[in-house]
Amino acid sequence: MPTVDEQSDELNDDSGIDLDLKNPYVAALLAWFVPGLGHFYQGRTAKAVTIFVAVTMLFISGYQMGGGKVVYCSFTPEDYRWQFIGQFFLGSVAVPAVVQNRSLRGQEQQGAKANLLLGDFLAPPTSTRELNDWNHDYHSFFQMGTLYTLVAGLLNLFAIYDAYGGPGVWHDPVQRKKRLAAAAEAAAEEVS
Amino acid sequence: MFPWNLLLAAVERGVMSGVEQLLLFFPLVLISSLVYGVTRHERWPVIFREAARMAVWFGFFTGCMFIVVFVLSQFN
Repeated sequence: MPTVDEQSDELNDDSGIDLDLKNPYVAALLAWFVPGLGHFYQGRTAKAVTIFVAVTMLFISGYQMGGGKVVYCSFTPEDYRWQFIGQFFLGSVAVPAVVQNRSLRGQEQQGAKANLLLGDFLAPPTSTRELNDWNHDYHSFFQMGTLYTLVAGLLNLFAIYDAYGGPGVWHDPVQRKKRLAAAAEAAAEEVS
Repeated sequence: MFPWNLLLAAVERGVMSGVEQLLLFFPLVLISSLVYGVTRHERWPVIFREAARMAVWFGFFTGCMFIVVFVLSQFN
């Protein structure tokens, strides 16, 4: 009969789980582009659905709270949008945001009127005044929407790492030792 | 009783108008702890236990920060 400590150890133990991470680079890239897509590629469907629903819900809530203005790329001295560093880990929104930023800056250099490639979608503000208007119109929800989208991006960073290298507990030295020992034992049994 | 008295006093004095915005904190904590648990473990019972543990920890930590900032704001 297992002791309470052994039962507790068993519950915390992920060492016996055999995972095929397929190509981890492809999985990480897919996970970056769409939350959960890397896990879906690896056949970890339940995890894929959980990550997709959780991260996407958080992101869309934040995006709506800030009137669709809280996700944009801008690194000018007037508007240094450091929050975009976190939002960048959601690739499907980071790519259009970067495209919009390049489109705006390119036109600014040419002295042309801003007529962005994707319209207003994920576009940075064209002036400090416009940014002030956004803050005024959405007041605290602009900050909260920024926080939600930033956290969604950072959570997807965890998901990307999980798709690339397996669950975090695998990297725990004690768990790793157990996992490798179990794999070696299974291989020895197969040979004999 | 102290935290509740502090909260009630704050609401009565109107210093916490918009207190309903604190509700936005709950989905953030729930989703953060769930995704953290999912990326750390592979078995669902362990994932849920880890998520619950993290939710309590996040709640405690941010609650402490809230109380510190709230008390400091009273001296401005």
